[in-house]
Amino acid sequence: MLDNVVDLSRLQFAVTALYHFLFVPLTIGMVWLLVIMESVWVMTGQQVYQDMTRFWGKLFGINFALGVTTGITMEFQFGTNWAYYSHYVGDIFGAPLAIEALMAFFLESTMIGLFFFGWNRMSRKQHLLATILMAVGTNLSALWILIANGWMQNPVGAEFSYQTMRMEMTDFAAVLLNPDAQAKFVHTVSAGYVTGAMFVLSISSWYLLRGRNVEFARKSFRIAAAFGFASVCSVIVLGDESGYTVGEAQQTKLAAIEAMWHTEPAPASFNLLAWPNEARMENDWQISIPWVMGLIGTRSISKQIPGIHEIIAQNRLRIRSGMLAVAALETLRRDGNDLAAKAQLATHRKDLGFGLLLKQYTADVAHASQPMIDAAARDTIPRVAPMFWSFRLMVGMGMTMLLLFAWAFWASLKGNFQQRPRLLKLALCCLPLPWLCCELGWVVAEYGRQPWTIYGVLPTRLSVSTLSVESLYGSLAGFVGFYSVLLVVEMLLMLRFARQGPGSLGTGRYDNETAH
Amino acid sequence: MKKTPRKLSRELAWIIGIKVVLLLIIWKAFVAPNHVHVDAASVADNMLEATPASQHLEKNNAR
Repeated sequence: MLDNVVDLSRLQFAVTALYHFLFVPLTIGMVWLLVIMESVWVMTGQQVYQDMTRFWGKLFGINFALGVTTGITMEFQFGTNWAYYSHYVGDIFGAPLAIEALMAFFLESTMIGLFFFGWNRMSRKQHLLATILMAVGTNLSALWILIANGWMQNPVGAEFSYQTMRMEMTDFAAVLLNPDAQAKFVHTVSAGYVTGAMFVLSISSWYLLRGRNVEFARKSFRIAAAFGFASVCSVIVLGDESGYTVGEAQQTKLAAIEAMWHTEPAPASFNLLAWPNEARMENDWQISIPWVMGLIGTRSISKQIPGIHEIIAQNRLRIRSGMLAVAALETLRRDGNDLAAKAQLATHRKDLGFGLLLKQYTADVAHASQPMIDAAARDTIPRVAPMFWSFRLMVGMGMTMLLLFAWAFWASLKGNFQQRPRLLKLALCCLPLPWLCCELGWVVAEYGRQPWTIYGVLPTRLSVSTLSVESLYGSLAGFVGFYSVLLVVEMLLMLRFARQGPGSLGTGRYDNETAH
Repeated sequence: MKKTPRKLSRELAWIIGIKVVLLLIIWKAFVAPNHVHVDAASVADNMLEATPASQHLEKNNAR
């Protein structure tokens, strides 16, 4: 029963998070394209740039209106499905989430209101300022969410208190400037910029292939190609930084991503392709490039990257240390003045989470057997094959987009992209890639954090609320049904307005004008 | 017809107000009734006295 509650709660959160993340990257990216288009309009006064801002802004608005509600349900789930998690880490996790909600509500939403209803009611410069603030608000929302998420990956600036049975913040600056959060933020927003650029590039290519709204599409294509090329380069460079911070803080995740079962002499080789065999804890076969992993993962030629077998051996020791922490905590819950227990907890506090991993095998953690310790140590490694392939698919698609944007940017510099139907068709076909990359990126980040909700601190199975399986199935079905309807509505609206093109503005300047 | 900035700000205030009311309704209808009470004692119970999954299953099957 408990296993089902844990798995169903995880599934529900994964479904809502992955669904929510279909909307977020487009919002984050499109908003800066709107800033660029409107800035050109304000600077040059050319009408087509205002039309571009209004038309792409309309598609942005559809995405925002349908997507924004889906994030709220995730915040509700912290209270309903993850009550123990919320109590345990609420002191740290709650602050950035609250700031994000306030920022999204008051800055982002208000500026979006001004963007849509402020045309002809504000001066050009005032409206541009509202658009810029909308972009800043959208990106700052992402910052606070990723500070919260970065803390889940690398819990810095906090300490466990046995009196309150929760983590308490000791250093807000450390939480704010957490290297994981910073690397994750810039990598994620850059991925959003690529998504926005790909959206505009693909739809503009479609207009050009059909010979519709040519001038409008040419200008949109050019902006998207330049912005997309810069963004995709940023994603790759910042992804490398994000990978480096993972190597520093989450060795298990890095080892699983690389299917690196054994520690190699430095610098380690990179498994370009492999077939991870999790039962044997070996790769059946692999194609490796010498040195590359060591250089990427440690930025040195002398530092080793630990393999999975060696990490499991280290974690066995941490579990033994954690058993002493749990025993001390049990004593302190009975007698809060026991000095010996206080000293023991202080010594082994950093391994408390590892001791708690044994809870799924025994109620009496302090006397866990060696097979139980071995099993718990094995549990500290996330599933290798899904991590290995998710990461490689993400990188492969990222490289495809790099080539596409480089080609599109080069052709737009030359001014001959209209005569290159292959480029336009490729741009159209690549439309789903940024979304697939973003979803796979989240799989790597979140699935790779297992078996923890807070890495090294709180096991997932101790984070869930005591709910019934029936209620979880009910709410899961509700979410899937409601979100499916939203997705269908989004797709239909997007297709309708994309098909109509700038003609949907009713200005009389474009093809396929709608009656107004 | 051009609307005055005062009218626009009134419209935006209405929109924000409606959004607050909708959020409160969602909260009252779907979230508040499912409140899960958690405090230090219940976390200690959950963490330190939780029955392992295997035993939990055996108990449920025996029922």
